[in-house]
Amino acid sequence: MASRNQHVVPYEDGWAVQSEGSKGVTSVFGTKREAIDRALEIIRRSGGEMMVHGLHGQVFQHAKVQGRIDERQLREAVRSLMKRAHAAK
Amino acid sequence: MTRTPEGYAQNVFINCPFDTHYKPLFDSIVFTVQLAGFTPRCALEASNAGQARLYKIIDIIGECRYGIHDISRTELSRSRLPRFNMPLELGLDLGCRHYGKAWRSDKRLLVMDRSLYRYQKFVSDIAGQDVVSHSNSIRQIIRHVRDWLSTESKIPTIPGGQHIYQRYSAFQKVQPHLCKAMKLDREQLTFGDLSAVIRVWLEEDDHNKN
Repeated sequence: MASRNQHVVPYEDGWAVQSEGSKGVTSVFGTKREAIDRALEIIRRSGGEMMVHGLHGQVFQHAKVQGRIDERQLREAVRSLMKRAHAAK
Repeated sequence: MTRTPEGYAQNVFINCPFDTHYKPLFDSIVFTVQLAGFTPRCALEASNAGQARLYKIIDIIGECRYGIHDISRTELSRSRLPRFNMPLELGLDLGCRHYGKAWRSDKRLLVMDRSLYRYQKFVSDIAGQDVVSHSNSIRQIIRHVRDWLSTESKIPTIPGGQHIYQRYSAFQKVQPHLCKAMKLDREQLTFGDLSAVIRVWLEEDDHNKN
């Protein structure tokens, strides 16, 4: 299974987003900010880490995002608790 | 950004401390905003990625018609330096309203502090803004946020502060059980997860009452 971590790296005249463990880049941008936004968008879907690299591979910025909650499971949990509370009355 | 962003009229930017002591107050603001039918937004949506974080906050502020700014924790930290994030974000929101596109002039801001007129000692330039005091009371925060949203949005159907406070109290009793069932750490809930938990609970509670 591919890693969820994303790396923002200098690429040609711009910046690129690269998934950890993958050889190629997934998307290329003109500015670092655009590349960071894209990397964050990806890790917000299911959680993971983003690392922004400098020209020599060093990591300058690092962000960690938890995955989003499963809403269907959450709704079932709320209903189950409400049912239990109702039955206890 | 030349057009009004999607959801602009429903988005409420919440600028407040994110420490453990403030957490119950923060939760009550998020709860009130959701119950009133609006969408809470805040800097916690941004990551810890340095420069990107500030620009993300600027983007979020630009996407919100409403802004709630709690400057009650503008005080010296352990390092004996004042905490300036809240006044900084308040300044960004005020600037956005003033210098932004014409439609942004309808932005509405609520400024809260723990006591009336305290702000005059550290940020007196905001005199003339709507500043209210909450005395660190959840009940008062809910009332202020509710009354302000109702007045500024001109939506007459938002329930009263007492009703919202009672429902928030009911939610608080359920929240630990809900987090346990979902295997979530209540103290470590992300902003997205907290918003989802509140929204789903409100929807199911409404459904049960009808």
